[in-house]
Amino acid sequence: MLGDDVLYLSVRELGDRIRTRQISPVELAESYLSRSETLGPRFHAYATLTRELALKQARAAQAEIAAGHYRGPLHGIPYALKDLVAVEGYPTTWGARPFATQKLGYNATIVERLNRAGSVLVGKAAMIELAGGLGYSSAHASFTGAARNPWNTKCWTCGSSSGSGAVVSAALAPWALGSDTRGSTICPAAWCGIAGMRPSFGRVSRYGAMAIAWSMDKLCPMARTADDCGLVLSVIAGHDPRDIASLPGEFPYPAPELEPKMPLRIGRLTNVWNKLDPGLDDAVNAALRVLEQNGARVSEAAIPDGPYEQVAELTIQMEAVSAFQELIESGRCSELEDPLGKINGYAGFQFTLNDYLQVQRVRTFLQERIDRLFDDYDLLATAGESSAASAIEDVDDDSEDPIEQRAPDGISSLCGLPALSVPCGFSKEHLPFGIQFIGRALNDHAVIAAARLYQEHTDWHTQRPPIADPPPA
Amino acid sequence: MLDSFSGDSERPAPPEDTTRTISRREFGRNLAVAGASLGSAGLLLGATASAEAVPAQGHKPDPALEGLAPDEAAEVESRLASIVQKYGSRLSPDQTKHLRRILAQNERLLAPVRAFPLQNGDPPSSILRISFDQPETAAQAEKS
Repeated sequence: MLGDDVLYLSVRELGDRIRTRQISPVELAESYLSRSETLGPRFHAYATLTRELALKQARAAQAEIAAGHYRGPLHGIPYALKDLVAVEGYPTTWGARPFATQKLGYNATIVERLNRAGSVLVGKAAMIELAGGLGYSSAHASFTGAARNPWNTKCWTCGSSSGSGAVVSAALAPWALGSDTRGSTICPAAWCGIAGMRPSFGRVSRYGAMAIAWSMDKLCPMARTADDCGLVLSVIAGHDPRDIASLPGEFPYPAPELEPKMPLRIGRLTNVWNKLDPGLDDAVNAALRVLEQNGARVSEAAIPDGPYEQVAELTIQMEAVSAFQELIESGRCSELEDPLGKINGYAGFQFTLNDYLQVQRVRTFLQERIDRLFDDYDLLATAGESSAASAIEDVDDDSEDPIEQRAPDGISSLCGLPALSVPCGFSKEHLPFGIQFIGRALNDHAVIAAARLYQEHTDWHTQRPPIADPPPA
Repeated sequence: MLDSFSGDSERPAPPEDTTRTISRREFGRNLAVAGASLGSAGLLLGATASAEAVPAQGHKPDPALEGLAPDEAAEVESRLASIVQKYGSRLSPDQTKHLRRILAQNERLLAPVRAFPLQNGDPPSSILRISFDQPETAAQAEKS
């Protein structure tokens, strides 16, 4: 079995070792599978492990590479998929008890792409039920149990890509797929001390992935570095006629010609978050100083007025009740774990057509306002989340909280903007902090470039959570 | 994509601060009007829900509705009545109360959206696509 020093390598480093035959894909898959079987249950990281498929794919990759046919940077690289993506022959539970035995008889587009790249699927990561589509109020809103943070198992990983965050943080796989409708990748990335990227809306096909809100859902790479997010995105992104929102073309990476010219113009957001952990605020400022020292120009930026959070939240609620109409109508929503999820759909049914159209008409203006902000900045920067990881037992009932007027995830998700969170320090309790970079719609290369530049000059992403080595097999 | 949006620079500015605060006294006054305007919607509620929706004179107003304007509070009760009428047999009393809080929060979300100035030609962000690609079969994709 390979040790931690190998299993914590980035996708790029593992790929180089596979390409030069220093590591065998079968040995790598066996090592991650063994670690996942041993440590996965500790973190409630997986819904399903796919050992048989992983070893079949790893053997195929090994044979091809030995024969001189190297497919590219993900060839022979293990990964995990959030369990809302269809994989033929395996359950796709959507994290929810009513779908615990659901099997979809086809592969999602993203799975087809990863199969063509020669990737190795080790498992399907646990998640918040329905990715929070009908609302949820605690970490326990998953039929596989609350995901536990590898940095402190009394803390949560955040959601809804809760298992994907744990998988990467604990090196159960070098990267995992998450999804993000409003913050479901950025928050777990920040809390788990890893890189998580939400691509521009439409960049990655969602065909075969569970829908919450068709106009806001994105599939997202979560990995050890920003550079890895770019590598993975170059494989999973690309036009797909089966997803009506799919953007044209592929996503080349690396592509220096598509990155913003230095100096990077970064706007440090000054009027987001109702309450921000002071230590985290300091960590973000320190991170921006690192970027300034390396050629970026940082100034203050403010989000213009507007009901961003309201429009984002309402869009999700309104589209989700349509996406899950059958579940709600049948009454099987009562089988969900979360008290909010059990009933929220009934409230959602009460929105009118006019409510929906009004929300979508206002959204058009908000998009334009935010887009204009990028005339002055290549990127906006702020904390990945407003604090470090919260305790597993914390309850946060969205239906009663004060409305966070300018939560960055609401704004950027609503407008389809790319964002990337990377670790930038630790709290007093030694829990990771994250900084996120938000780019203009379609400018995914800018967020990768900024986060990569930061990681070239810092080592937060190389820190490992305090996990004892698994016992020898 | 964003280039096609119509500009809003000449539009009247929307309300600067969309978070409204309201005193308890105002709240009580508003609720009295809301109760009066419930009309037949209130009658649709089951006995328990109905009693909760319209506090009798001298009773404390439902804190779930705090901060809502009378027409908003009325809409909460109307929508709750509709839910109870259709799905009431599935709901416990606690869930019915929870739904009122959810509906009230939805009203707070809707308020600044409804107040946003829009004109006849302002379109929704959802638009109709009039051309579609030919679906690629898995076999074709495998070849490419």
